[in-house]
Amino acid sequence: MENFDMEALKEPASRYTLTTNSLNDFLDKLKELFVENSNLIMDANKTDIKHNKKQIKVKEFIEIIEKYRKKDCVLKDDERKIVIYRGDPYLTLHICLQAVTQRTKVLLFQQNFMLGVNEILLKIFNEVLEEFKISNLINRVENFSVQSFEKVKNFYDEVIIIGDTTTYQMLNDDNDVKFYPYNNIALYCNSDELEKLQEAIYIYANENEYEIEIIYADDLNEAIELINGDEQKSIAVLLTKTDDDKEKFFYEIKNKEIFVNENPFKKEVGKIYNYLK
Amino acid sequence: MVSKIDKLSMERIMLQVGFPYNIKELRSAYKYNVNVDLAMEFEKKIMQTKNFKEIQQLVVQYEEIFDKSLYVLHLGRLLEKDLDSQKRQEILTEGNNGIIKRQVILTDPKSTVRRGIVNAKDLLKDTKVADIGVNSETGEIIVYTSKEFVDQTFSMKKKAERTEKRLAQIDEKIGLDEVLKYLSPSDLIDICEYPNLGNVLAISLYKNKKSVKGKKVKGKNNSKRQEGEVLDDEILKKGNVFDWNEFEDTIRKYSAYIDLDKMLLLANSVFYNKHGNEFHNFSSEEAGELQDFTEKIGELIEHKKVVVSSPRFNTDVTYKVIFESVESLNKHFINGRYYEYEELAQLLEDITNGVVPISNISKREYQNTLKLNVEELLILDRNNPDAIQYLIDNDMLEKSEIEEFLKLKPKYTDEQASYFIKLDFIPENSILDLYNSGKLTLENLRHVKLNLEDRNLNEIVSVDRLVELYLDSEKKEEFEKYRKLYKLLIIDESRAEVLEREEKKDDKQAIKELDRRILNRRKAIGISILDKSMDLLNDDYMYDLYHKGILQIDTVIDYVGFDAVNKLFSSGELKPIDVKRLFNDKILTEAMLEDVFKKDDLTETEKLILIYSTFSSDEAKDEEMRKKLISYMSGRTTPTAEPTGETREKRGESQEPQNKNITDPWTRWNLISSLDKDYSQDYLKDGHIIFYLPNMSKYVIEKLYDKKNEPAYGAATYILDESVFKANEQDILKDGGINKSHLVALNKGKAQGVKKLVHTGWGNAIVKYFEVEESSRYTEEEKIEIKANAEKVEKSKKPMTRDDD
Repeated sequence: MENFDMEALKEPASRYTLTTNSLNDFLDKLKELFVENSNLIMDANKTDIKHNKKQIKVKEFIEIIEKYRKKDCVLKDDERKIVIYRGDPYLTLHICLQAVTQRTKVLLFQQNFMLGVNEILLKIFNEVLEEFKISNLINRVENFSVQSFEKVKNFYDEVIIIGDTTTYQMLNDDNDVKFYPYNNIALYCNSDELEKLQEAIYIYANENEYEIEIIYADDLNEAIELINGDEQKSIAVLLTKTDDDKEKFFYEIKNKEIFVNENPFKKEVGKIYNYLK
Repeated sequence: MVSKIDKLSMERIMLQVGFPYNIKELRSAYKYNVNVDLAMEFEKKIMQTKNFKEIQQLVVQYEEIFDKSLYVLHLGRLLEKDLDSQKRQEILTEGNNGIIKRQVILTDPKSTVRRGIVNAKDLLKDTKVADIGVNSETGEIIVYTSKEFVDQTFSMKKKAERTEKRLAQIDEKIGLDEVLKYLSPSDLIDICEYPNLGNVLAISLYKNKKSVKGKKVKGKNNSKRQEGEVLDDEILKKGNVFDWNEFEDTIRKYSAYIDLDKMLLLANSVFYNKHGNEFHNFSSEEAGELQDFTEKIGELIEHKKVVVSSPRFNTDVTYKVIFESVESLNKHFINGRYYEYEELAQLLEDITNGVVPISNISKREYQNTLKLNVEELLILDRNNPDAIQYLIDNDMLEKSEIEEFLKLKPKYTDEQASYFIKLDFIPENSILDLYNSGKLTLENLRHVKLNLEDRNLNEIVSVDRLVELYLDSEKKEEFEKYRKLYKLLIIDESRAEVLEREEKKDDKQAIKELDRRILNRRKAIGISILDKSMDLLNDDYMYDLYHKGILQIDTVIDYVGFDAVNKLFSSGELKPIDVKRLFNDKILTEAMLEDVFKKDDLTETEKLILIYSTFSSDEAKDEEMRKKLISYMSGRTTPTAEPTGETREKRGESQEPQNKNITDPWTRWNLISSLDKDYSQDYLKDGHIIFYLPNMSKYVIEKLYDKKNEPAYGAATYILDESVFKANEQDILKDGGINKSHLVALNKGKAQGVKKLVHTGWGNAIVKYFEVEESSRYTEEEKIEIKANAEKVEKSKKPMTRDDD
């Protein structure tokens, strides 16, 4: 079976855990290693760019680490979760940090996206974990397939899919799966002039492996109906030249982040939830 | 059972059998486990009185220290001595002044010695008691039983012979020493037929202690005996040592007085109880030895209902209890490790959930401990499709269990379907029912067809039934299901044909010959179908049967004529695979193509679809043909988009290049169409195309063009099960286009049979969704082709300028 270490997946994580007090030391060490290895990360990114276009910033990793500084560490007894996502390295770091603070054994199932950066990131993270005597907490499998998933799912208590609606569609019939969006975009453009912007957003989303759907609707009403009807989308984008449409869009789109005539990727990292709660 | 004597008072007993002259004889009638303090108190009082009447009153007062049966037996024997003396006195009376020294005072003045003996025998009839004495010269213990006293013909010798034989059996099967290693002398009290004898023997063994061998069992032996209960408690107390050989010799010597069944059972119980309640201290090997030991003991015990009471245990013990306990103990061992009940429950759950592989469990462990009921088997099967096969292959399931399991099993993997059919657990005559009920799928049966050499499934379907269902307008759904099965089993390539294709894949001429044979076979099938009913010879029926993959275009041509080709081609209904073959076979000529492409019966997009679906390869011949056909299209002078995504230019008047990052609709079309060679398609005026993939029973809805007739990108792809599409067709199709709101509504929540795939990573997602890699539906070449098409989709969106990054 591909790159599985079946025994590691079956066995629980080591009994050691971080306390709220030792978390700061852990984060300091992690930050230090990220800075020390920034060249390695950037080299890996260069290799990845041959296949994917996402540009990584080490500064962003550091900012993510800082966000966990005031978090409490929770003591849980051998909780195990599978997290399936496309492989955004920023998201990888968030999930790893949540796994540590919530003492949850995690199996990361990724698509073939940013393999190099993810690998080096996990290496750094596990090295720091080892220093704190924590082992077998985070495992990773590349190139998600239903068959691989079926073989390991019973070792875990819960399956979480972040942003990857395609996988969610494939697994949801027979499995109890929790879905969280991550930059899942619906875009409607009703202006010929803004078609170039639509293309640019579409291209950027694809390069960064954010799911985007171009809404082909006869009019704005239909577009709003289609966007509101899609529970897995978290971001709604309208490109228009009409003020009335802007207002209508803001008013009628429900439960999504709304962007009108603007770049939905102002922030490098999408909205983050507590996935392992 | 309460004996006759037990119901009598000591006063009454003394009246019947008398009272000993020598009050020391009273000691012989003490209970073996007499309360020592009470006995001493009694003796002290007796010493202070000389009056027999008063002594008798004391005996009545201290009745509880006496074993009444033993008293009667002892007095009976004294009476016999008196009678004996009396007989001898009758002979010697003259020289002895007629004075007889009697042993027994007859308290009833009317009684006689003979009467006393008769009374004693009567009282002892149903009792089991032994009077024990010691040979003053040899020190040997002498035993005289109530049985011998009552029945003069009874001989302990005979009994001894029998027990010796049994000892020999024990020696042979286990070895007496192996049995005794679990016992100690104090157990003699519980296994001797006469506890007082056991007591005496035990005391004797402890008193005679010599060198002690390692085999002795000591420790808890008397831990549960009440203090003061045993006469010689100091000797029998915990920790005293004894000579092992002497113990064994004593058992052999007094075996006639020992209940060997009790001895065996007690030894077995002690072995089982070796670790008290700490059963986890047993090793797997030890538990196995205990099981063997118990089985042998079971063979040696004559009376299986024997009960042993021992201070070692709180309750009486029977062999059944021990046997079941030992069996239960062994059920806790899996793979050599002891599992507590909670752990076993967890293990069972883990096995059922597939966390622990069933192959870790041996047949014995499965059958003794972890046997799953049918519901658990179903869960196990769901979590680990190979598990049931393992259980069957290792003879761990009964036939009835397998049948019960299969009755409830909701679906099969392809391998399972082949396995159960191969082993005849699914008989051929039930396959159609299982298929109709949805338990067996077309995929399952395709696997069976291609993998089980010795199974011919052709007879499951018949041409009569196919035609009958087709002509019955009320059975459309049933026909559809039957049609697919018929097509799979009768029309699709047989196992031999598939193997031949694989074998000769590099020999173009051989493959051509194979195709010709397959076509002829299919034409013959078509004729046999049309022969069944004149009604079928209607053009529309034949076109329909062609569309459904039952008739070949060649058969339709044979019956309708070449007009059929013209009609189907110009309406876009001729399957792409046939267009190309007929074109290569010159049945469809370039002039006919030109004619269709110059007319406006088809829209421009429909014509383009026709072009790309017919001449889709990257070969120069196809590319040239594409260009030529495009040039026939009205008003078109420039070449249109090419499916590689690398040279595509915007169609229409504008010459402005399109952004190369956007997936080319034709590469998407190419990928979907390569999923099923029997596909058909329907192009809608809103730019959607509906693919029907009959071999997968799926509909794929893909947006190719936008409302300005420009290539569309980024719209989600919907994949629907055929049944869902058919049930919702009216709502999905609206005003000649797709009603997306309805598709969104169908997909919302946990919809079954409707999947929505976004275009991010779309090519690979399609390959994964249709399980191209794992499916037996595709040959290796087809898999390579599909994956290459998926790759083209991804490649088509890559900007050329960044390819060399």
